[in-house]
Amino acid sequence: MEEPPTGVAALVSAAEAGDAAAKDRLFTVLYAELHAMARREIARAGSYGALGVTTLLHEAYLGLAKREGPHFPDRARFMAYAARVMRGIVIDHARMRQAAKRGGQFEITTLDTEGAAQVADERELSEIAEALDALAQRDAALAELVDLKFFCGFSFDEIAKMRGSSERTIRRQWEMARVYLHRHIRGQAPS
Amino acid sequence: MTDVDPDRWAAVHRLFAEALDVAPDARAEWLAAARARDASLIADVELLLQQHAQVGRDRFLEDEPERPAHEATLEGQTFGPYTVRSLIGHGGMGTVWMAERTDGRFERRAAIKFLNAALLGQGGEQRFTREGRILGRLTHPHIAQLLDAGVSENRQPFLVLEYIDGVPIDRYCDDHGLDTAARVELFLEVVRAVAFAHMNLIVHRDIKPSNVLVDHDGHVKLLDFGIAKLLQGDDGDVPVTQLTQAGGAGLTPAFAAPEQVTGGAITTATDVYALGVLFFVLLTGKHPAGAEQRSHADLIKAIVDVEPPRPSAVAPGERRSVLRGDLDTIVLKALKKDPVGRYGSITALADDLLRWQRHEPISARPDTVAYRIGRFVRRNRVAVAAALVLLAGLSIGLYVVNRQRRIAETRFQLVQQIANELFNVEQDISTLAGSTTARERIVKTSLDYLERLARDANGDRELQAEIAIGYRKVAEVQGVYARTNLGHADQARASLGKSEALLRELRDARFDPAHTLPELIRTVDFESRVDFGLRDMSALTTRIAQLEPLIGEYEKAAAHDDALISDAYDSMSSSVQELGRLDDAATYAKRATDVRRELARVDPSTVNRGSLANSLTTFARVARGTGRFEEAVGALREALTVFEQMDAAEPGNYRVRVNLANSSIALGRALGDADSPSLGRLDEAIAAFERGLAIGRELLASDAKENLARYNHALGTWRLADAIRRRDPAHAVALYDEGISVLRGMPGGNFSRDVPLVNVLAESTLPLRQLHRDQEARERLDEAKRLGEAYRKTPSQSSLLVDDPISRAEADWALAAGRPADAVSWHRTFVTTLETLKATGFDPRNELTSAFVLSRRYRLFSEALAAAGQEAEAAAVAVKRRDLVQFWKQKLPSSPFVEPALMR
Repeated sequence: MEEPPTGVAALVSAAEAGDAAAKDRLFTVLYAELHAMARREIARAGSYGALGVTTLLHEAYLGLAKREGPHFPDRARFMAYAARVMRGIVIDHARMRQAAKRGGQFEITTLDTEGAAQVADERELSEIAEALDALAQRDAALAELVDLKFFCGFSFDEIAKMRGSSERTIRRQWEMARVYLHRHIRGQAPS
Repeated sequence: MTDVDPDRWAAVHRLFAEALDVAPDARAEWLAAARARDASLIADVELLLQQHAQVGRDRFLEDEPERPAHEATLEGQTFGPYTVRSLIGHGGMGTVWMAERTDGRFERRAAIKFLNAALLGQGGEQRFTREGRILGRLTHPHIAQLLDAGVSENRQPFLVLEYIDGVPIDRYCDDHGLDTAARVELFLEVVRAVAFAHMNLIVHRDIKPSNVLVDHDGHVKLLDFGIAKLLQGDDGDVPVTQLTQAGGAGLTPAFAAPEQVTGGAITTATDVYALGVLFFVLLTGKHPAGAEQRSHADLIKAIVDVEPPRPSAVAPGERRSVLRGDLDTIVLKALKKDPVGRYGSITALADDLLRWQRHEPISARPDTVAYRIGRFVRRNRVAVAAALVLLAGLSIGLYVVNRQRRIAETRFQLVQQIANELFNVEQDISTLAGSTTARERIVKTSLDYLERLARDANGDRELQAEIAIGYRKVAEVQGVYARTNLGHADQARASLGKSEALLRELRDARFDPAHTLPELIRTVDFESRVDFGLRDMSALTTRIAQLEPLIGEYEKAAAHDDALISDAYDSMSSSVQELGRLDDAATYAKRATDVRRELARVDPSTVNRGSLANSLTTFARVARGTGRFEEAVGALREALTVFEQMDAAEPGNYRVRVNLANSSIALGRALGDADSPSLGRLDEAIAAFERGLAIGRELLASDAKENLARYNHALGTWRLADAIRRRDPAHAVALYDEGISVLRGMPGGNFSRDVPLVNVLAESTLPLRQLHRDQEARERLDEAKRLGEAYRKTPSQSSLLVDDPISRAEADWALAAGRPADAVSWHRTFVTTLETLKATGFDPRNELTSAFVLSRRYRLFSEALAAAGQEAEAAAVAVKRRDLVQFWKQKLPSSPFVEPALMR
């Protein structure tokens, strides 16, 4: 049996060559990496420490690039994948937070015992995620922008620098993405 | 838009971007021109523009989601009616952000100031709430208004302040080329604001240009009462607390008065001095001590020892003649080293400035003989200081003597009042909305009393004990329990620390051990709860290590309080479970239930029975997680008995019925659940599930829309169907169908409904296939996948919850259909994901249920590999399974059930 690629760099290459399994595995590895970093930070600072999501992603990039050496993808490419993963983490966080609010430890087969008071938040995030997947089919860069801006909290300026583009262009693309997602979710007539 | 070709998409996008750059009122014209070029494209663009307007109205995607590790990016977060927009600045205390009021009532910008969380331990939060309280009372046109104060979900205290878009006063004067008269006029606004604060007994203590802004209308706004301190005290006794020390350390030396750097008394005269410095800077453009060129140490020396020059001596040439004379005198009087030599009040300073404006004689006089004597004293500072210390020592001694007599007389009224009355009042008002301020005042007042008593209690053991209890009661209000805002947990920790220190001192002195020991246990127990709440594992470890021997010792005492012991064991059980000491967790939970059982036997009150049932359920959960299934079963049977008694005593109590159903199902799971580790006693499990389900059906019949009833019912059908599906697939399908229809009737699109539904749909395919209803099975599995899709996108803990039943069902089917390679692939993906997720803390080596899920999966995986002819890997996976089970056998050596449960 062929040994599946393991490092992030190798997985990115395989994913970009069209290997769907490698792409899944890449997301899994990045998820674990980012989640572990966030946990370490929370453990270190006692609560949500001074480390924001964007800092977290930058540090993850530096850490992984250092570990994996010269073949590591550039920052913009890395961020595209990592931001997609962060979307999952943010949604997961919303779910776990709700689960925690409903009381106690999250067990694998625990059923909710309280009403659906808080679900709007999580449902809306899930809808956005779904619309984003549709957008990614049409315009991957636009979907990536939403992951970076909305889910990770990068500023327009940071995204512009990352992409070697102007902030104005990024803002315009953001408005376009908002219209697209809004339409997808609120179900307005497609053109 | 899915059918639009990429070129057209790009063209529409480009035009839309272009249109956004056109001002709204010019857009019609732009559209007309563009339409002439390509009418069909422009129709799309117009639609996009309309939709874009709607997007703006909906504020779509403007409020960003909460992120797991948050802080540096508060942008988009909401606090009360305010949404954070951008960072204004960092300061010693924390960060300041621009925010907007976004509740639609009116648009108003505000500044939100967040306290640096790292400062919380050192009294920073106290300073913060203090600032909030002080500022809230100050309403003045030249003082930035406090609008709101609170503590965020992330436990961060914040203040919402009027947002001032302005520039520092010194820069404003220079930018606008103001002449001396205009500068005096502007400075008078500052003076009036400070005078107003003084009338409210508030000293600013940190007046400097960056705290004095001038807005667009040319008016002054005074900011940041960060180290302001309330000038009060019923007998004029203002203790130098940690608060004031921290405040002193936070000030800006360049504008500090001599008494601030030497630790002298801070009074309104301190602000007079700072205003003098500010005035000096405004008039001359220079600092009186030449602060610009000096090191920190030199600056402090200059503030204390060096007489400032006359402003007219250092001002730019053209201003010198205006300053010479009265303005020189006014500034120098404000800048006297000795507070007594300065203006007696801000009003006196204001009066002199007004006289100067009206060309009347001012009150201040140039240096007098007395003042020159003062200068001699300063030059001989050391000798004078020694004399002062002697005098002060005498008066303090006299004071303490008097004080102790007063304490002796009033101590019982005072302490008892604090320890009881105050907290009774607190309990009464704690449920009232808007009582926070009153509660904070109670805490503050109590702490002030306790601090004062503590300082004078040296050697008085009885008083020390009372103070220690007082501190613990204050801590309860500050936040030992979940009902209190967690933002106060650090304050509670500080108070408990004082309580513990006092009690340990008493213990070392062997004072009244029969009372000191239980009090110490209670205090340390509370401390451990605070650690637990903060998830401060290292502190918790230490604390539990202290608590355990104390309780052991206390239990041996002839007379001991059982309620205290059971409370302590109950909370220790949760703590040590969190620390991974699973066996101890079970032992402690058992101790708590044993003691409570006895208490309920002696006094079968509702409270005692209720707390027994609670602690039995807790014990059962801990026991199940530690492989003590038989004990869990015993506890649940007992809890059921208690609930039955309560049900009989109070028929129709909904809550009790729900508890009965829940406990029955929990009992069934411990006996023989299909999805988690259990005893494997299927028949008994089925009986328990049937009972739970019967109550669930009855609850559902009484209120079909009540969520609790619906969940209970669905849970019952799911568990029972899982348990019987091998022996009676037709009945299992009927039960799954019942659960599916209840779950489908509930609002979907949320985790708490969708995950059970996915599970039930997927699990039901197994008996369906046994009945050869493959078509239906396929439809259900597809529905489960569709529903689960939203949760499966990224591998995570929540994706596992839907992946487990789906991939198990698919793999089982593939294997049965003679496609072992597909089965292998389903299993491999799941195992890889679960193993990778270990890094996120989802570790089957920490949690028995996850271990069960993984162990079962290893077995199925290994079987599929063998069927696919991959014998070597099949063996390797089997070894992994054995290792996992071995690991758990060693982790829980006392449980004979772990191995059979995990190997099932």
